[in-house]
Amino acid sequence: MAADINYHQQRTGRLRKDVKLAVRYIILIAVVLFFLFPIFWITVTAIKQPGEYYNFPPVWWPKKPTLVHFKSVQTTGVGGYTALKNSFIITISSTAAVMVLGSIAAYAMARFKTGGDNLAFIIISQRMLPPIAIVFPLFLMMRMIRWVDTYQVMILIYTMFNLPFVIWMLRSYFVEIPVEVEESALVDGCSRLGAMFRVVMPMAMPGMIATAVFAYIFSWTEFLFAVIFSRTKVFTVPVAVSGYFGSEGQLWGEAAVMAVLSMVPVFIIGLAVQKHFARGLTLGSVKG
Amino acid sequence: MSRPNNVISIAPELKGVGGIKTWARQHQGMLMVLPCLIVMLGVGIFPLIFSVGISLLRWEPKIPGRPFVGLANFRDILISAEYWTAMRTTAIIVVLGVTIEFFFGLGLALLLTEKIKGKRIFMAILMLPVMMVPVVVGYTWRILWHSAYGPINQIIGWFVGHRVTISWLTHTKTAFFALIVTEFWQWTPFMFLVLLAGLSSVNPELGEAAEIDGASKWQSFWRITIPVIRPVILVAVLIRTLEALKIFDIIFIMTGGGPGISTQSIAFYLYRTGARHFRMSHTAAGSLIFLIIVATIISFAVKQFQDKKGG
Repeated sequence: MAADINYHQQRTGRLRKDVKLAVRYIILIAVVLFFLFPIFWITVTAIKQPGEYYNFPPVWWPKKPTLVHFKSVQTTGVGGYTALKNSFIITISSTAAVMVLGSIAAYAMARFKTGGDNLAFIIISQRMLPPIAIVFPLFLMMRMIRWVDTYQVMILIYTMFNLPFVIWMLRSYFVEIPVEVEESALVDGCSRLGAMFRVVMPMAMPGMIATAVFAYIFSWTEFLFAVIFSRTKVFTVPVAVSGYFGSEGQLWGEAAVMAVLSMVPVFIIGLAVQKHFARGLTLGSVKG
Repeated sequence: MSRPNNVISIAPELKGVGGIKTWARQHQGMLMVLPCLIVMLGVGIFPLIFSVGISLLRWEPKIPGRPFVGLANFRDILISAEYWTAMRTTAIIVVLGVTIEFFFGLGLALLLTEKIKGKRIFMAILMLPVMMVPVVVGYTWRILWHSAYGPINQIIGWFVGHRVTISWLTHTKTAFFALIVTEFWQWTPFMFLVLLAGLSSVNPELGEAAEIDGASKWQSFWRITIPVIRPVILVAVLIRTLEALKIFDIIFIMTGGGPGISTQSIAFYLYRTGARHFRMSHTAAGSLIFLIIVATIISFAVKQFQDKKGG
């Protein structure tokens, strides 16, 4: 008798657990659908026949998927593949520059406590300032030296823009590496720079890669500086996307192709550093 | 980092060489930080100082020369209805957006605290919106909200049983709604990922111990989980708030500030004043006022960060 009751309790207990788990999965699936749907829709729009996106009711899957917009994206608007090339040049160069400058500064701040906490907070507050406050004066300055619509101005801006983030991230990774490891390298006759490049940086490599990926994503997605500093030559992908809604009407297919092309590179490198994601989003302050 | 730096300044080969090398060694930290500071001062701080100068002149196309006008630009901005409309729009989007993102993000994170199949894939999917170009997000949602060719109206139509043609982006209230949903879509995952990272650092034994002592799940959530992840909550909310204050891209793409000027954010308003009307002085003055407001929030933020470090 007692055993029987016990058995029933266990059964209803397990049933409740099962129901709870089912509810949880249903919620999670709904959430996944909500977050994937826009990405699905934009991708499908890219392969619809011209005009098929102007259809009522909206077409969820094209009758004959086409790649025609992947061609016309270069011949309409500002030139989609040129934008892609520009974005790659600017993003990769600025990421390289910010990593070199930032890692040296971050090392000094982590090991020698250069500038102390005050310097660190001055640096991070620059990251938080609204870019709209400097974009026009910077534009006027750059116009004086005729740097508007050049690669170097975009690279310089994105380097400046990412420096605070990179310094904070790398500082947080360098601090985690025990000083003893370095000391023994120094005792063995390694120079300070040698210890930094041969001992500390390899140990912090996963963190450095994650930081570079984040710097890359920030530059890749930036729009305000890009739209103000580009004229006819150095427009980036976000500027190209916005360009398809110009006076020439709305080129849905071409804009959708650009959207897809803009997603692929960052998705690949971003997912590769999934473990560091929360940390990157919070400038190194929340360790995932 | 408990040791002072001079303990490891071992440089036998350089002792007595004197001159520049010794000086460089003594100041190596500063020398290593210097290149960064030069870039940040030149491209970040100097334009800001330049902006203060511009704000005291009258720098616009129709006015010859650049006469000094003192604080007149600031007065113009402060009495401009458009500026305050933009301020209100920004505040609405920031407060509503960040609040909703926070609660949904927290809810999702709590659902995934325990081990569950497919957690990694779920997290990977939610990373995608965060990585997207905001302009592309705006463009995508502009299509989704479209009155005739958008799937949102179509789906609503399935439920109500007849064709729906709401033009979401051309009425103030629905445009706000559309903008906030779009922001929600892109940034709720941010909250989720950060809060989940915070929650997974909470020791589950703490909660179990409390429950053994007779605390309900609800009590242990409020008394233990929340206090432990409080610093993470602060970081997440502050970073999101500061980012949301800059909102520009999706407004540029989705509504263009319309209908009328009702969905202009501060950044968008200043962009129009500067890039379309070339009224550099008004832009500078407006930026500086906005900057003071943001700086106030930042100083509050920095204080929180410091408190967190201290405690």
